[in-house]
Amino acid sequence: MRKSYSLAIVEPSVMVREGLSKIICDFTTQFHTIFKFDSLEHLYSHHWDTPPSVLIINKLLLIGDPDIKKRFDIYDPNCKIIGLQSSLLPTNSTDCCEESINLYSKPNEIAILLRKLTISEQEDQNINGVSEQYDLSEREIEVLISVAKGMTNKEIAFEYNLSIHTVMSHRKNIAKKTGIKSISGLTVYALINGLIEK
Amino acid sequence: MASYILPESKLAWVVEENYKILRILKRLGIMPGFGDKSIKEVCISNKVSVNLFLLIANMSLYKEFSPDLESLKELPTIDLVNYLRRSHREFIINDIPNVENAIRDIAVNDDFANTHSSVFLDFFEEYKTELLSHFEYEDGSVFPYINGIIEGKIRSGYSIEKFEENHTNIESKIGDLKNILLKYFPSKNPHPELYDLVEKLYILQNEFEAHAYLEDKLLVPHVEYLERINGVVK
Repeated sequence: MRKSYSLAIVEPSVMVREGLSKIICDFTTQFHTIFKFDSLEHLYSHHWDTPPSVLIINKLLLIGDPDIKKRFDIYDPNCKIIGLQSSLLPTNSTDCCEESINLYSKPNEIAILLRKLTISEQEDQNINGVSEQYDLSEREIEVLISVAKGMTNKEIAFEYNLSIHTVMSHRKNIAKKTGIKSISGLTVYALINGLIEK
Repeated sequence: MASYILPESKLAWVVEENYKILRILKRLGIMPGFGDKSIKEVCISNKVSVNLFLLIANMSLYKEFSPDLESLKELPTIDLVNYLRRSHREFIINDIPNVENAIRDIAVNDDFANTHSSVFLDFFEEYKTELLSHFEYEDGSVFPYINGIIEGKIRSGYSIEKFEENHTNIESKIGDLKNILLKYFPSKNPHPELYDLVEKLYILQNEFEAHAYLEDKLLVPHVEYLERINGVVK
C-alpha cells in the first residue's frame, strides 16, 4: 500500500495558490489533502491533525521568517520545504528550502520533485524494481529475454536445457501475467523494464 | 438475454440503446433525420437491404448473434463488400492516425523522450504496417475475387477457404499496447492524456473484433454459398 501525504501551500496570490493546487491535484496522486494559506500568520495559527509532509512556501514570505523549518520540526521533523520563487530574488534567500520551484516550472517537473521528496528509496524500489516485477519467476524472465531477442522455442529449450513443452508453458504464463501476447509487445516490455538493451 | 434488433424496431430507440450503431449507419450511408421510422422504413427510404442492415447491426453489437442460413443466401454481396471496404477506409483514414498522433504526443512530451518513446513508436509503426497490408490484401485481392464470382469470372486455384485459413487476428496487438500503457508505462510522470489514448484503443479493438466477426461469420459463409452455386473448383 502506498502511503498518502498532505501538503500545504503558503502563497499570498490566490491565482498562483489555486493554480498550483490544481496542477498538484491533476498531476500527482500521493496527496490526500492540500491545505492552502495566504500568509505565515494563517499557517502558524492552523491547528494540525496531520501536519503536512511537504510545505510549498513563497520565498518572499521567508524574508521575514527564515527559521520556518525549526517551527515545523515540532510537528514533523521530516517535513520537506519547497520554496516558490515568484520574483527575481537573489538565491541566497533559500536557506531553509530543500528544493525550489518557480512560476515557470512545468507540471511534470513539479510532480517529479514532489514524488522524489515523499517517496523513500525503499518504496521507489518496490514500485520500479525488478524483484517484484509482476511476479514473473526468474526462469520466466530468462525465457522472456530470449523471446525478446528473437529466439525460437527450440533455441530457448536448447539454451536452458528445457523441453519445448516447458518453454511453451513458460511463454503461456508470461502472456497471462503480463497481458502481452505478441513477440514485439514482449520486446517492448523487456526494453522498458531494462531487461534488454536496444 | 439481449433483445436483438428487429425490422420493426424504431431506429431512434436502437441508437438510444446502443450508440455504437452510429458508425454502422454512417458506413451504410443512412442519413440522419429519420424521425420515428422503423429500421425497415429507414432502410427502404435509404435503399439499403433490410436483411443486410439487421445482420451487420446484430452481429456487430451482439457477439453471440449468428446468422441463419436463409438470410446468408439472400445477402446483397456488393453492398456487404462495400460496407467492409468503407470500414477499412475509416480505420486507415481516421482511427489509426488518431491513435498514432496520441502516441506521438505522449512520447514527445515525456521526459524519457530519448530512451523509451522510440520503442513505443516503433512498436506502433510495425503494427500499423501489418494492419495496412492486411487491409490492402483484402481490398486488392479478396474483394475483387468475390466480385469476380458474381460477374462469372472464376479464378481457379483460389477460394474463400484460403482467405479464411490465413485471416490473421489484427486486434490482439492492440491488447498488448493497452496493457503496456496501462500497466507498464515507465514514466515517473503521470500522464492524464494516456487514459484518453487507452480509451481510443478500447474503441478500436472493439471495432476490429466486430469487423473480423463479420468477415469470418458473414462474408466467408456467404461467399462459400456463392462458390457452390457458381461451381468454383477448389
